[in-house]
Amino acid sequence: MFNHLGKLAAASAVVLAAGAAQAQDFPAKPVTWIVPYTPGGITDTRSRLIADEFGKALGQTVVVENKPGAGGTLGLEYVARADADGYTIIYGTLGTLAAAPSLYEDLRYDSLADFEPVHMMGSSPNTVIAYKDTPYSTPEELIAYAKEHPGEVTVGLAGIGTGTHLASELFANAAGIELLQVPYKGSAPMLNDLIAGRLDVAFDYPVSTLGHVQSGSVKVLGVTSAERLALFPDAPTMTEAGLPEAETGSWSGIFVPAGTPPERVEILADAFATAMESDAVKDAFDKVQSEIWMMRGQEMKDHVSAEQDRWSQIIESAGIEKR
Amino acid sequence: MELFDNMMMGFSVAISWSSLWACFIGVTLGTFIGVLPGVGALAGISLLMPLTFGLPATDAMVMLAGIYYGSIYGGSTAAILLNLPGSVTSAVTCFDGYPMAQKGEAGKALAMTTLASFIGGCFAIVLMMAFAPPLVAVAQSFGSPEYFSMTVLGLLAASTLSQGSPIKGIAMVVVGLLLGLVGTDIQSGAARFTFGSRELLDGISLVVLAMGLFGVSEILINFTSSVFATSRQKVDTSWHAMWPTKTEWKDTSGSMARGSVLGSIIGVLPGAGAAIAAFIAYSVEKRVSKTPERFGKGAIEGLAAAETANNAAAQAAFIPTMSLGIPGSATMALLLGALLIHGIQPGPLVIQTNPDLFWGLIASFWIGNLMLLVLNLPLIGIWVRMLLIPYHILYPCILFFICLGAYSARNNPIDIFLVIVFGLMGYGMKLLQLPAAPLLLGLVLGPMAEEHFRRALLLSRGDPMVFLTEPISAGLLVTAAIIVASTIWSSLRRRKRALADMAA
Repeated sequence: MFNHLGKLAAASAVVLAAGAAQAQDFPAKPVTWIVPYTPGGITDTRSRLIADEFGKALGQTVVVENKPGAGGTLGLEYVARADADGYTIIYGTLGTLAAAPSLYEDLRYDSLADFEPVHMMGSSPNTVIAYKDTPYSTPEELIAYAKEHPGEVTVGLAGIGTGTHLASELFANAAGIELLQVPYKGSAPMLNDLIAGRLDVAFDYPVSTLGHVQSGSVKVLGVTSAERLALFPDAPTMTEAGLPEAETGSWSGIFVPAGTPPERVEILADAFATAMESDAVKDAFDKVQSEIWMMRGQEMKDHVSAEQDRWSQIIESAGIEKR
Repeated sequence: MELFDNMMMGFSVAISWSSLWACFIGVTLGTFIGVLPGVGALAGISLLMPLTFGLPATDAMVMLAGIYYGSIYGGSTAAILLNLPGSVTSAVTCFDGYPMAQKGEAGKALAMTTLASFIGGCFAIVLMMAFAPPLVAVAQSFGSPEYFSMTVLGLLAASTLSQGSPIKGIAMVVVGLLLGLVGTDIQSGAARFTFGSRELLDGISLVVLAMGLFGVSEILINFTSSVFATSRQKVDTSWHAMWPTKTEWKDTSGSMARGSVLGSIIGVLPGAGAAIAAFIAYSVEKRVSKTPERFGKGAIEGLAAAETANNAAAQAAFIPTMSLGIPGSATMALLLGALLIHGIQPGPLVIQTNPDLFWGLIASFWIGNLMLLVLNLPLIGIWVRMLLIPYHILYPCILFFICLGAYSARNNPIDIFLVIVFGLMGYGMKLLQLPAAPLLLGLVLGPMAEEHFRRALLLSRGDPMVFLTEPISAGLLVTAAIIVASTIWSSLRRRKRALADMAA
C-alpha cells in the first residue's frame, strides 16, 4: 500500500515538474534508430537485435534505418541536424565520435557539443591474430621478432582509420616496433590473405576471428581486453604482455541530438538499459565476446571526451592524413 | 559415394514442408525485389531479415538465400523490358536483352533468361556438391597478383565489348577507370576527386551509374525521338513464340556451357562476384562468335552467356562464404550475419559442425531454382504487358522507381542527383555513338586493379616480378598478351589485304 502511495507521490511530483506532461506522452510514435553503416555488418545485425528488445521496453516500435557513408560520419551529421525531440537516435562509436574528428576534414558535427549521450552498449576488444606458421605465438615473441626484423612483419588493416587499424598503431607504438602496414577494403579480404599466409599479423574483433581460430587456420597471439576472454583462454592480455597502454576496445552507444529534453533522454536510457539486460542481448554479446557497459549520463560523456583526446594523439603520432 | 550421401542429407532437410515454404517465400519475394530497379538483393535481405529471426536457422538461411538468387533472376526482367538493370549483375543482360525486346522478341528473351539462369544455377550447384573442397583451394590461392592479372585480362576484354571503333571502346574504358578513382584511397585514406563532397568519399555506385547510363538515357532518347507518336507493338507470348527454336538451342548451348563454367569459377573467388562473371562471359562469347557484329544488337548467345554466368556465380559465391567464413560481397556478409544471429559461428567449421544446414541449403538452391523456373515462365506474359502501358504513363513511373532505387541504396539524396547526371551523360554518349558497356566495366575493374596492384607490390616489397613468378598470374598475363598480339596481327593483315585490294 505504502509502496503504491510512494509511487503515486513520485508520479504527482513528476507531473508537476515543467514539461513532464510531455514526457509522459513520450514516445507517442515509432522511434527511428539511425545506424550509420551498411545493412548486414555486425553493427547492423546487432542493432536490429537490440532494437527489438529496446522497442519492447519502450512500448513503441524502434525502426532501424541505415545511413551509411564516409566511415559512418554521414549518419552522425544527419542526426546532429535532426529534431531534438527524442524520436531520432544514433549509433555512435569510437570511430565516429572519438577518432573521426582527427581523421576527416570539414566534419559537420562536434562529438561533444552536438550529441547527448543516452546509454552505452558496450565494448568489443581486439584479438591479435597471426598466420598459423609464423615463428611467434605470443605478443612478446612477436615484438622480439619484429625488433630483429624491422619493417618485415606485415600487419593487415581493415581500412585506414578503422578501430582495428588504430588498435594496431597503439600496439606498435607501445611496443616500439615497426610493422609493414597493408591496407584492405574491410576485414574479409584481409582474413583471406592471413589464412593463406600472404599476410603475417592482423588485429580484428573476436566475432570475425573466432571461427578461424577454432579451425586452426590462424592463431591468436593476444587480446586487447583488460581480462582474458572466455573463448580464447590461452591468449594473454596486453597488460600481461607488458603493454598496459595497448589495452583498448571499440565501444559503442546510443546518442540523441543535443537539446533533447532531459526527461526524454531518461526514458530512452531506462528502456535501453532494460534491453541491454535482456537474455537475448546478453547472449548475443557473449557469443562474440563483447562486454556490455551499463554506462550513461555524465560518466558516458566524460568517457567520450577522454577517448577523443586519447585517439587524436595516437592518430597524430601515426601520421594519418586527414581526408 | 560421399557426394550421394551429402545430397541425400541435403534433400531430406530441404524437402521438409517448412523449408519448402521458406524457399518459396524467398524466391518469390526475391523475384519481385529484383524486378524493381535499383532495389537489389542487399536492400531486400536486410529489410526482410528480421522476419527470419523466429525461424529455425536452416529455414532462415534457405529463405534469405532464396531472396538473393531470386533477385538476381528477377533483375533481368527490368533489364530486358526497360533497359533498366534492376541489380548490378543484370547490367550485362541489358546489352542484348533490350535490343531483343525492341525487335519484338521480349517474350523469347525472358524465356531464354529463365532457362539460361536455371541451367547456370544447376551447373554451379552440382559443382558445389561434388568439388567444394578443391574449389575452396582455388579460391585460397588467389592473392593480389592473381586478382590484378585477372583484371588486366578483364579490362582488355572490356575494350572489345563495343561494336565499331576500338578507339572509342578504349576511351570509354578509361573514362570508367577515372570514375572509379573517385572516393577514398584504400592505401592512404586520402580523398580523391570528391570536390570537397563528403558524400562522394565512398565512390560512385555501379548501380547508380548503370541506371543512369542505360535507364535514364533510354527515356531521354525516346523523349526526343518520335517514338511517342508510334503505337506500341504487341508482343507474342504464346508458348510457341517464346520457347527457343532448335537453331537457337544449338546456337546457345555452347554459350551456356561456357557461361556456366566461367560463372562458377569466377563466383568462387571471394573478391570477384556475379557482375564480373557476367561481363567476362559476355566478352568471351563475343570473341568466340563467328558474327561478333550481332552482339549488342540482340544476339541471343550474348544474353544466354551473361545469364548463365551471373546465376552460376551467384550460387558459387556460397562456397567461400560457407566453407571459409569469408564473404565475397556485402550480400554474403549479410547472410553470415544472419547465421550469427542464429547462434552459428561462421567459419571453416560450419560444414562439419552443421552439415544439415550446409547441405540442406545447397539442396534448397536446386529446389529454389526449379521454383523460379516454374514461377517465372508464366509470369513472362504479365511482365511483357508492361510494354503495353503508354509511354506517357510508363516513363514517369520508371523515373520514379529509378530515383527511389538510387536513394534506397544508401538513403543518400546525392545518388538521385548522380543518376540524373549519368542519364544526361548517357544521352550525350548515345548521340556521339560512344559505347556504355566498356565504361561500366572500367568502373568495376579499375578500383580492383589498382587495389591489388598496389597491395601485390607492397607485399612483394616493390618487386614487380611477382606478377610473373606466381603461376596463375603469369598464365593470365600471357593470355592477355596473346589477345593483344592476335588483335594487332589480324588488323595488320586486314590492312595489308585492303592495301592489296586498292592496288589491284
